[in-house]
Amino acid sequence: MTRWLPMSVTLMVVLVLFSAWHLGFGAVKISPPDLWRTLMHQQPEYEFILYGYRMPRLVIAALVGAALALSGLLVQGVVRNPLASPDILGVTGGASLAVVGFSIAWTGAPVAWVPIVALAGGFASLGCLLWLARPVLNQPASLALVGVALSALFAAAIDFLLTLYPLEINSSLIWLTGSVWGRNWSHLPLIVPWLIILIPVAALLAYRLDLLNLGDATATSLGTRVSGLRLLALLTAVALASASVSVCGAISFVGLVAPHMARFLVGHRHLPLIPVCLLLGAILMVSADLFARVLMPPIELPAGIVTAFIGAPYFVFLITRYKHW
Amino acid sequence: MSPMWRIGALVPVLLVAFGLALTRYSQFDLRFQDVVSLVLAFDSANLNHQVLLSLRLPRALAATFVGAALAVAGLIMQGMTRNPLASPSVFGVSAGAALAFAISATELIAWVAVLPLLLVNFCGASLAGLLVFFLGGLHRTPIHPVRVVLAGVALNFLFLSMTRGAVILADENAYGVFHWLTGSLGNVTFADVRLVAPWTALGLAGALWLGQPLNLLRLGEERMQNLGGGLRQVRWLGSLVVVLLVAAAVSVAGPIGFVGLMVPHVARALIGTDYRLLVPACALLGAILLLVSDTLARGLRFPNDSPVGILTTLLGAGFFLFLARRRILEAGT
Repeated sequence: MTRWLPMSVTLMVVLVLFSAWHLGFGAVKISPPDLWRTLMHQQPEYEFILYGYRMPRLVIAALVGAALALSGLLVQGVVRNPLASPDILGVTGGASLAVVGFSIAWTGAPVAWVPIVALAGGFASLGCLLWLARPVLNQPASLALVGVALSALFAAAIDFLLTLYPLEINSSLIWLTGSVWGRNWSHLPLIVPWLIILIPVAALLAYRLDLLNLGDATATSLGTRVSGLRLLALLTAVALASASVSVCGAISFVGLVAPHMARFLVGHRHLPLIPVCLLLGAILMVSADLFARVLMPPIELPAGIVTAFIGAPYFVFLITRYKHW
Repeated sequence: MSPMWRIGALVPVLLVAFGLALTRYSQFDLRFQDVVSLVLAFDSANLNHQVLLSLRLPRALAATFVGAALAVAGLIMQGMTRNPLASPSVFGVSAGAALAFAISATELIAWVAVLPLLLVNFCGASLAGLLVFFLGGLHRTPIHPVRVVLAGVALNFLFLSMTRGAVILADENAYGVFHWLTGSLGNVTFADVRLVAPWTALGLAGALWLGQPLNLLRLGEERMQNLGGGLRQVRWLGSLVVVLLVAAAVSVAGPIGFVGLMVPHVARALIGTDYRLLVPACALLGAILLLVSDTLARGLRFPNDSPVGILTTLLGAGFFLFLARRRILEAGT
């Protein structure tokens, strides 16, 4: 497949267009020429709004979307399951439960701890899932069922904790649905290092994941250590999902939808899939946050609600089309 | 002990739960003697009597009716789909009713707000039920149970998100979100009880009538038709009963989760598989579960009130996980 380069360029253009809209829209509207002049530092009027509020929010949304999409791609590659994604398998739910519990137990804890707690929660919930679903790891629908039930339990526990120990409402909404409300430059270090480390890891694993697609036996005979590869790829996926949770809560369905769209666009090989998937995730998340603000200004919805509007019907569509029951 | 006697034995348990729900965890020093003296001789100057009558009694009555309605709705759904994971909260029927409730109560769509609440909830629950029915593939003969559950869970999540969105759009500071999404009996009045009681009674009567056909359906769709049972008739009436019960319950208490999933399983362990006996057993057990949960929820953050939904949902989600896993293990062997 050589389609990935033009496809990536096209997606990049789409992302830039959405980003421009995202930056220009809000209580103070910035027209495209003004936006350009502000970015070129020729017009100081809007600089504070742009660099103080909208730019960090945009960057965070794009990075979170990219991280979730890549995480979904890896999970789907490893368990060879079109219904799998970090949120359906309960990983993001577990990570947010851990963070909620942590921020209740230790109010005013330093922000630097949050990603570590999220990571611990993500790994723990993955462990739970793999243990509970031991006998059905190769049956996609059953694995998804256990994951969905696990997510329901985590969501119930979050509801329970937030009712007993109410947080401030906007931070509560972040942990209930996922939102990029009020994210600023200080949240950037929570996710950027993970992406810098984990994207190359994913790229290194890409070729072996292609082999895994041929089946365990073929992959082994071609010299892949299947169980080690699976573990490494899953750990990478969980780390990506947990990092995104530590910034803006459990955003649903981006990790499910983006890899499917990417496969539709550039086929099944993982190496070209990675950049396309990253871009698609960023576009999905930026546009979701955009629509969350455009729908009924000045009120804004959490971005997680908008992704659910797109993702839940798509999940149902996948189920109705899925034939290997 | 025969199953009939076991059902009878549930009645005193219900009465004790009712008594506890009336008296426990109150700012006023309510005692059981107050309940007895209230029944024997009502004294309008007695503060405890007034509290019991105007605050506690409607709440306990509503818990009884809502619990019974949700449990029986879950039982009928499990019977009709022959799927142990079926229940109003897993299949999104409650969430559909709750979404309709939120749209109506927040006046997001003006003309919906004018219609009677029960009718709006009825439409919401029916719409959600129909969606799950077709998307889950229930209209085809061989039903795949996991498929229905996954479709239901996804729709449930969609309705939940839409409800959240509606509430946030209508109420900028969004404090209502928790209340709308978890279900609570905190602000129930006698008007609510009068709303829910007749419809619950009607639904329960319908469920009792469905007992025998559901027993036949347990043998399989084909065998049921061979034995002369009307499959189409049972499905229509059953769906109507489920939607009616769920709409009535949600109108009063919001989407209280997972009662309809847990209770039928407990009832089966207690009574067996005869649906004619399971219906009354589920009604009693559901009422007991909700009365006890509501009492415990009041005690969680006493003297502040907590919504009962967070307790049942936490308990029920664990139960859901347990059932999902057991189903899979059974299917695997």
